[in-house]
Parts: sequence; structure tokens; C-alpha cells
Amino acid sequence: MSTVWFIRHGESEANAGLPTVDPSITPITAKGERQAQQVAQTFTQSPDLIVTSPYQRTQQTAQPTRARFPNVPHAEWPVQEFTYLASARYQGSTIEHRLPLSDAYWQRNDPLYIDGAGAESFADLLARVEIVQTKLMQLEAEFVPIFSHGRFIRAFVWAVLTRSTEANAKRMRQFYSLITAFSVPNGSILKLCVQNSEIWFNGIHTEHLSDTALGKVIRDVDSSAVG
Amino acid sequence: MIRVRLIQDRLQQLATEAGNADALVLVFSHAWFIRAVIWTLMMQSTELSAQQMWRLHHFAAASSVPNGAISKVQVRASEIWFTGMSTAHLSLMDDEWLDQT
Repeated sequence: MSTVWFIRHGESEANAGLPTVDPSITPITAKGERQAQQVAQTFTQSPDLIVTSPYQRTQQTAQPTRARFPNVPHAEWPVQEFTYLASARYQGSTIEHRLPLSDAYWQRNDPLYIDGAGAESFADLLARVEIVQTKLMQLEAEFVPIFSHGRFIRAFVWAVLTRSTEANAKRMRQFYSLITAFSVPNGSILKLCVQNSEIWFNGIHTEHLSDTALGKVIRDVDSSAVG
Repeated sequence: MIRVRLIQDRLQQLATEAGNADALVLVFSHAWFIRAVIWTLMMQSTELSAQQMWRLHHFAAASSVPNGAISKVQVRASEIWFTGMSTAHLSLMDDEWLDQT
């Protein structure tokens, strides 16, 4: 049996409403760094492998965990965010600026549509989800944290719950609803295990994310579908 | 949500009573209720609010529960684990039939 934690990256500059250059190199904020430290401290056993996406914000979030367990190997998997807007759309824009573009993308509801260079289609996203499912089924490691992204984690959950990675217009509409259905806060952990070729979920955990200065739990809600 | 909390408590209670023995319980239920149980387990919350209600509504739109589908649930060390909807045991399925709840 393998235990897998899907961990959403700490708060990024884009999450904080700041302008971005390219989604792959958006850094995390000071708050995101605190969340990364809290994630690193929540491990009660050493992982056997630490996985990140190719995007900078997951690599930064994983850094305190990698520093705590320096002998654990690191791998990059295609668990990066669903980037459905072209790279050019991000140049100097904020989430608020991109909202009309995002709305247009979801209203188009075309699972094969690619917005331009640097973007992928909904079908591409589900193909990546399928690749990751296959990797999990072949895991030999017992405990693997995967530092990933809000929409990718939701796509993974949805594909497992519905037992389908089929991409069509109906399923794309359903996925748009799912984005609203689940909150995956920055630094939260989705716990799952793989047993006898079946994936079991234990929900999205945030109890390790406490703001000790204020004594309250951080609940950074990200229900937005904005790219 | 009160009924969802109740069923989660009952599952925990059953696991406690079973101790180390494996106990298999079959719960024949309904699409909306099954969705509510899965969604609250995923969110780790049975909090009542307008926002939570809105989210559950969207979860229902995003996930179909085919007639006769099975979601497996396990209680391990007081934690509840669950799987996706399995329809592998059902035959003669088509999209229209799958959508009926």
C-alpha cells in the first residue's frame, strides 16, 4: 500500500492578486513560505520520494520539506496547474484582469480548444491526470508527497471519483461545477492511499495550517476558475 | 447535514464495536445522500452555511451516481476513507442511463 499526499502550493503572488509574468515562474509570497514551513513540520515520518510539478511555486513550497529530509529523492511529475490561457495573456496581468478571458474560455466549453502558446486543452489536462494515475498504480514507494496545484488536484479527484478521464463537452461543464464544489486552500493536503489498484481518499486537510500569531486556522479559499 | 453527521458517527461506532475484526456493512441509499456523504468527507466538514450549500449543489452537478453504483468506505484508526463510484458490476450501461439518479 502506498500513501500519497497531494499538497497545494503555498500562496503565490498570483493568488495574492499581484501581476504575473508567466504561470510557470510565479513565485510564492512570504505567507506562502510560512505555509510551506507548516507543511514541512506536519510530517511524522520520512517520505520515500518527494514529487513536485515543473512550476516554481511547487518547488518553492517543497523546499522546507526537502531540507528536512535531505536524503529523500526528488522527482518532477506532470502535476502542474491546468493552464488554459496562452502565456501571452499572463504578461503583467492579475487574476482580476484575466477574469473575462477565463469566463470566455469556460463558456466556449470546447475540450480540445488551445488558447495559444503555453496553453493546454481540457483534454490535455485529463491526459496528464491519467498519466499520474498510472504512475500512482506503479508506485513502489510507501509514502510520497506530491506538491501540486488547485485545479490539477481537483481534476485528479474528479477523475477518480467518476472513474473517467474522458474529455467531452458534458464532462467539461461538469468539471467547471466541480471547481466551485471543492475548496483546496494553499498548503492544504489531500490524503489518499493506493491499495490493490484502487485509490482511497481521506479528504482535504488544513489543520496543520494555523496562523500562530492570530491563533486561527488559515482558510484560504480558492474556488476560482480563473487561470 | 445532520443526517450525514449521524451516518459518519455510526460508521465510527461500527468500527469501534468490530474492534480488530473486519465487519462488512451494506448501506443501500440514494444519489443525493451518497453525494453529501462523499462531499463532506472530502471537505472534512459538515459545517452549515450558504456557501457550503452552494458548493454541494455544484458537486451534485459535477458527479453522477448511477443506479446501482457502489462507493466503498473504510474506517481505519478512526479515519474514514472512501473510493470513487464503481459501476464495474453493472452491465448494459449507456450515458442516458448513467445520468439517472
